[in-house]
Amino acid sequence: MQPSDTIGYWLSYAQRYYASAFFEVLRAHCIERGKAYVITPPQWGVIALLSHDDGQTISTLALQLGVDAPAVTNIVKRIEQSGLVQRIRDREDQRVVKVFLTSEGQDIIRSLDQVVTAFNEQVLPGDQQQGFLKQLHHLIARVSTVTPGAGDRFGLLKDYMQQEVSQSTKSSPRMTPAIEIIDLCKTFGSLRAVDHLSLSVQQGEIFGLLGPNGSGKTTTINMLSGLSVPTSGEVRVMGYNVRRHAREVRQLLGAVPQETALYEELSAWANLDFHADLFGIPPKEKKKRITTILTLVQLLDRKDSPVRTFSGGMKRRLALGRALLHDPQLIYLDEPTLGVDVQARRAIWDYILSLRDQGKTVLITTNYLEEAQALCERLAIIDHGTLVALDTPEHLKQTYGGSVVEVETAKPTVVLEMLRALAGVKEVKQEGTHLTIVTEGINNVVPQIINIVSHESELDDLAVREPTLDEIFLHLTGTALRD
Amino acid sequence: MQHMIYHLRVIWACMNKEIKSALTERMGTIMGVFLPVNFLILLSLFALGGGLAPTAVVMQETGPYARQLYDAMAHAHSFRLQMASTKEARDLIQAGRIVAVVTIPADFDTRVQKNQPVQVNVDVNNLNTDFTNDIRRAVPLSITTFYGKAFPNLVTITPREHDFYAHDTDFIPYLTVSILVVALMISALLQAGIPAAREWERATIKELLLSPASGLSIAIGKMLGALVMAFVPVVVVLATLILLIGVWPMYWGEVIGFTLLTMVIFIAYGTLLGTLVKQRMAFTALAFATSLPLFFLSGALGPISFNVPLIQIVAQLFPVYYAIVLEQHAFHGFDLNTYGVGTNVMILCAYAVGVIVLAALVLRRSTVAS
Repeated sequence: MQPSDTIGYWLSYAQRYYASAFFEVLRAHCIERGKAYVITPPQWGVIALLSHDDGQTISTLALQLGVDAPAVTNIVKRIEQSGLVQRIRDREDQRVVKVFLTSEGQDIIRSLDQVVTAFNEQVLPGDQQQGFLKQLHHLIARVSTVTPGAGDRFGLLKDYMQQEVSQSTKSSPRMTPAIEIIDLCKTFGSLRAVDHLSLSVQQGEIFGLLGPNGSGKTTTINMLSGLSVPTSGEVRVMGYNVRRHAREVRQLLGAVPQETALYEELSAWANLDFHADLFGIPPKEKKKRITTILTLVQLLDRKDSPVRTFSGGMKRRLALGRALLHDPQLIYLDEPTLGVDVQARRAIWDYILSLRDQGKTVLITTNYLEEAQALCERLAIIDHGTLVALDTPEHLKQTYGGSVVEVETAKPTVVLEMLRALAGVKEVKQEGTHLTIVTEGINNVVPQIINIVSHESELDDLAVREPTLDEIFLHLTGTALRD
Repeated sequence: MQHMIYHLRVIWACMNKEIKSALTERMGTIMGVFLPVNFLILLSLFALGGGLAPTAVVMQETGPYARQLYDAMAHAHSFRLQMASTKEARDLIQAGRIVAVVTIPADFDTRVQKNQPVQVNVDVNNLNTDFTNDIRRAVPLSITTFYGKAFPNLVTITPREHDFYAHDTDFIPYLTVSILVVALMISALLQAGIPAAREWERATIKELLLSPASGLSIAIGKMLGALVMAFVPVVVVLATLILLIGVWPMYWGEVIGFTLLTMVIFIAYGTLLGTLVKQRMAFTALAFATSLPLFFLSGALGPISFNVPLIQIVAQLFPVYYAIVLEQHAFHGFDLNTYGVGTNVMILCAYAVGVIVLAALVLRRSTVAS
């Protein structure tokens, strides 16, 4: 066997490019026994991601990895040249340790606990087998997720790499992930509201949690803040286990619940004063802090007015100010602009964006995709309690949306089936003389579309645009966000 | 020390918040005073109304024997007597305003003196069996009493009574002290339970649950707030009982102490139930639905020790029983059980501590649905 056939070689090779602690961890698991193993997960994992030969995918990878596209291309070429990928596909190589990086992988790993595992052409002794699987399980539980596409998988892997690099570069508390959700489950009777959800939010990040009503996002948030108890799994906030260190977590957390949870019969000042006492803000600082916060949310002149006399926007601002009063590290906002007029919404967005500048981590759930796009650096889309996608808004569009080609013809066209048959065309819709064609990419498809349509009818207009988040959401969950 | 100061601050803040919130709910404050007083007065009137049968006496004879018979009836603790003419009496009974008409005939004195039979007519509106039986028992009893006093030599068998207490206690003074306990219970439950349920209805519970403050501090603060708010109704109820109904306490210190202890227990219960039920309407219904049966079960109408053993056992499971025992001691000096005042107080204190801790635990372990 050539050195380049081994995962150890490729891990080393990849590591040079990414300086990734993730690979280091994987190495530790796979190579510590002095042998080289090939990783051949059905879902491909890292190698699968790197082995995509499509140019579009490589550029996407490059974006996700934050390295030059040529570097990615180079890696892919080397892998292909070695024939490793093909041999993995064919499963001809018997020296295989299966490492799974998806949720399906986790399920298989769990089932492996009950079977004999062949390892380096030998059956592992029971204790080693269990230990090895346990390690793998731990690793995978932290990095894997249910995602239909490689982009999301890699998004998570990248997070994990960043965490590991952060931790390895010496455990400054600042570098601890703000939120770690690990294999989280919540059931209500027979209903599984959250189903093996894993994700991680970095400090200083504005992170959006999206999902249709009943998707499990509020349940997730409730478990994160300790308002609900997980059925299984773990939630960590700034490194603290939410169940075991509930008090510390609450001190770190600033919450703006959907209902604002303000005492409407009390004045704005009394609400903040009460909050200050609950969170142990020193009496000497209390007055100054409340004044500062009321100034920040532009409610100082209404400090003595009962909250019930406030508009929806004012209440939201006050709730946001209250959440900031004890200087939390993590702020979660549940539908922060629900029922708020456009002007107030803009003001609230400005506040939220200013929080990031202060180094705060912000977790937002919202039904407004426009809001998610405007505020969030990364988005997690959950549906039926599982993570459907996790990435930046831009990457989500690139990964899942392809492009949308809008064509206006002089007369209604009858070539829909031909268009649908084109490679790279995912969906074709016609409304009168207007065609909407969703593609996987635009490289070669658009000219073909033009050719087909223009043969049949005169083209009045043609536009290629990226999909909206609403379209992405519809594609991923099969439902509109506000359904 | 730092922790202790923090907890005290939380308690103080929660108490202040409860008081401020309650004061803004004017209707709630008024109801908080009105309901227990109303309870006290209505139940007293109910007892008064249910205890004595309204009866008209037609005095066709006004001689000394006739008057002695009237006096015997008046002291029978069964009639609410009024004198009336024959016509007035007939009108009253036909209008349903009296239960019976007792007619003392014109020759009553003469016939009694001559030792001749006399018929005292009793017309009964037997619509209500309870009152009818009262009349049927009390008229012959009054006649016997009359004979015993008018002709002591003729009636040779007389009871020789040895009283356990120095003075009799009428039904109303006994009952109203029991009603005081149920009024305290209602007042305390509502003052504490409604704000606790309101926290859930208005979702402000999240502000409490998301804070690092301990459940015990929050619960104690809320209970103290409710206690302060319940102070006014309690004073009004006590004033009504003492000044209006005229039940004067035997031990003032005990009245204050036992009343406070009773308030603390039921405020803790209110906080616990409000936190569990989470809805004001449902909580209020539950408060009334549990208070009234407990009131009747716990020896409100008479010492529970006169009741069957099973009811005595059940009654002793609830703090209302011990509160009634202690308040009866405070007002009348009664010992309604053999435990002694100290043990009864200890039992109530144990209840108080238990319920406060339970309320704190339930509050801290509360979760929100979905």
